[in-house]
Amino acid sequence: MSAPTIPKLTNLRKGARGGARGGLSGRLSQVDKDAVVRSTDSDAASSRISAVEADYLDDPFAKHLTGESWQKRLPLMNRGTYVRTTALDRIVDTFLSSTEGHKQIISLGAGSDTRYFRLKRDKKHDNFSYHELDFEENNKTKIGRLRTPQCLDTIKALCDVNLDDAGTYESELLSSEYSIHSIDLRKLPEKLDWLDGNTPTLLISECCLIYLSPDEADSVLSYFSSMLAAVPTAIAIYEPFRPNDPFGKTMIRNLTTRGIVLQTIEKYADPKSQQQRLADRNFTARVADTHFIWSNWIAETEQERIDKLEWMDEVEEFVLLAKHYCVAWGWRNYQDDVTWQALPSPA
Amino acid sequence: MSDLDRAIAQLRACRPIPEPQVRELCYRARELLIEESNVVTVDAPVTICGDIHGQFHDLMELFRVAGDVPDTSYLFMGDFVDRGFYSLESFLLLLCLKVRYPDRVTLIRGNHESRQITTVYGFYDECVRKYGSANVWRYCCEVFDYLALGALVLGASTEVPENRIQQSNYDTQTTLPDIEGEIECEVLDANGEVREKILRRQFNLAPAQTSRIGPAPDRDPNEPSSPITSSIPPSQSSPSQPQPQTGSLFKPPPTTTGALLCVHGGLSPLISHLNAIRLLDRKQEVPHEGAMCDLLWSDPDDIEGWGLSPRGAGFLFGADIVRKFNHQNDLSMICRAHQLVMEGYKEMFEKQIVTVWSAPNYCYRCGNVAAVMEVGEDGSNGGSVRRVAGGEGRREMVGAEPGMGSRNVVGDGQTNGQQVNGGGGGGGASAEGSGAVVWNLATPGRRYRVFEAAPQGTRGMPAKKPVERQDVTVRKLSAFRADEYRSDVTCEMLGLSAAQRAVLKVLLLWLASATCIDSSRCGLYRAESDAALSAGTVEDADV
Repeated sequence: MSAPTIPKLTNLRKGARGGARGGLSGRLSQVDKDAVVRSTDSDAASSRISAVEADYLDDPFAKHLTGESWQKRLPLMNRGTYVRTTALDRIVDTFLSSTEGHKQIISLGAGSDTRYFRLKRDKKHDNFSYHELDFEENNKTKIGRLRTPQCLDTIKALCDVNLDDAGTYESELLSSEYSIHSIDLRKLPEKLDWLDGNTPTLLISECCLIYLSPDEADSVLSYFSSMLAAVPTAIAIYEPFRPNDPFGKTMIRNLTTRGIVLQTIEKYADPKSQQQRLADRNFTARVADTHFIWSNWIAETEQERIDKLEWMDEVEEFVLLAKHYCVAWGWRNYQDDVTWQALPSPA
Repeated sequence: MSDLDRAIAQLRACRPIPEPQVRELCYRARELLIEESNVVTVDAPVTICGDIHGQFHDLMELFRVAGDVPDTSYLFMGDFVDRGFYSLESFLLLLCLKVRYPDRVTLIRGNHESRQITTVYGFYDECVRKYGSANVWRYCCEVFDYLALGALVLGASTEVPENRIQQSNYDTQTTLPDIEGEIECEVLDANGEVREKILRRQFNLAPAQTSRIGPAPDRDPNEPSSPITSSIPPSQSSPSQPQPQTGSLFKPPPTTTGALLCVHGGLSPLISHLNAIRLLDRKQEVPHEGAMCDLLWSDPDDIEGWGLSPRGAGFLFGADIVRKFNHQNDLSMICRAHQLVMEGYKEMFEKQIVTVWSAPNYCYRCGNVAAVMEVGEDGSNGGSVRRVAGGEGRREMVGAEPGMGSRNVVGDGQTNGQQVNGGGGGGGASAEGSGAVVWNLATPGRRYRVFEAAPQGTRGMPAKKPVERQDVTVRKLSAFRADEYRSDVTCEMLGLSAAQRAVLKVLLLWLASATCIDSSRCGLYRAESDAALSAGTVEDADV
């Protein structure tokens, strides 16, 4: 019963049998490392469907975009997924409410994410375009799943979106509003045809930039910052942090055994450095760990609802875990940033 | 070598014993446990341990660090099972040791020793995986119902216990500079090296002097660092013993403390006296509410009075509750487990309660260290221990409690035949009414041994995690067998005869194997067995 949450370690080791029994990551080629990073998306999808099935999240699209094999997660994992999703939803909502007119959202390493469809279903906002960027392989999988009749029907029925007309290729999907682009963020082209530098933009990185090297991650941020120099722009980053306390060290060690390296975590290890990374690009920046988000962004009635979903005997563990994931967000070029200022953040 | 010793040897090697032996063991354990009171009495010296959670190799490390059974007397405060990969081996080993050395091992019940919780957090699935049936899980659950709810440690000394475990390479005494005063508490690392010594607080003098080498453990932030009251005349010098009533024959022995109450979770608003625990009918599944549930689920917290627990069962209770409970029951301390603490132990509320946690790197994820707590025996009375938790013993001030009036007098021991006449001026600190100072029995001298997780495999984390090589069909079949128990229950509900049941089982077995349907969809069965274990025990970068 090798755990499905440990992705294909044995496959990755082929050819290296009988070799040293040391660290896995050191021997992996770049291609294999990418495969490990890509595989983190199936973890995310698995966590999402687990939280959906346990009623934490209302997401009828998740089951269509998740593979066959997923397993039920522990209550604290489900709660973590819930907080992460809810936090980013709120930032997206803040962004979409903060200006009039057309807006665009760019989701880095979006993978199996369902946020676009949930936004369309909720029908609170319109007049925005949504771009998802990921590895070609992940996009192939996602587009394949999107094009199943059940998924297309669900999308049509709930979102009034018809993807039949979209220009779909094996690893790209292009429609007027929703696009999936295959791109390696380490090799960004001089110019992105689809990127409108005059439209207010939100850039989302949900556990994405952290897998790039610090230089690569910084240049991705700088790239989009310079493309969007003059328009209202916002950034939201969700990723693990605090790697240097006992819990953080164990987290890093455990991930290393899976071949996963969080490359920027040392550089952006605490709230201050996370904040500085956005401030350096002239964003008004805020940082909160997910425990703060759970305590301050989630309404009491909602907390009570969540408390009742599962019997959670992992309270201290959840606090520990939640303190090791952060949401960093920032905005700039806003004439009126009242909606942004309204998001609670630690003093 | 008896069967029992053989079983112990096999379990120590982390190999499960055969099902018939488990059945026999559980039967014998029940016979033994049924005789125990809800609050079992344990004599000092004893080593008190918190949650184990199936971390078998860490349990072995615990025995290495704190001494083996029967040389060391142990008290385990529950949560033997769930979360870790070896709940079965851990619990059965402890149970074997209990049966083999009943006077050296005490086991009390944790909130995970319950049918409902073990089906969610892994023990049920582990049993099914390892035996192909739920029988062993059922036997263990029957034992759970007989475990005591708490333990009362009697005869503990105010002095730090003698260190009986000598590590060869370390001289435990020379690493710290000598400090003046009475040592109340000592913290040792896994090698037996002293990391910290804490002096007994001198209430009317300077705050407790500590001498540290290692990092400070979680200290209660509320712990006063200055004298907590000015109502003590400065002339009243250490040791912190209030003056006995003039003319009283009673003179508490200076080295005796009150009893320690050990319980998995904490207190209950329904229980103000130990006798109320003794009156509970414990031989049942842990209820969702009520006193028995609270004892296993509650947590101390920095609040006043009682609060709602975020766990959905039990309550939160504040310092005032603990102080009053200890005072009324002549306890010197409450010792409990239940909550993960990163430093292995955490004293709260002016040392009136301590959390002991014995699962290092909990869930292979949390990066915490673990601890056990040793208390020594008070030899001043020729080794005889009073069999009741009387009020006899040295007292220390634990703060002011409005309206506790006359009970604050020192030597409030009915068992000593001493009459307390309504605050008759004992000790200068027993003023009536608001602001009265509470003198509780002095905390026992204690030693914490802090240890890290046992060395892991080369791939790090889920070391030695059992590998299952069953193909899908076999797994489904074993899951089928696994749930004979559930099917039995269902059959009972349907009122089927034994013959009818047999036919039904054969039919379902054929159906499961022929069509490979997921037996969980039959409604009778729960196929997924290993999911709960593996999910969440490994790290998720992408939560």
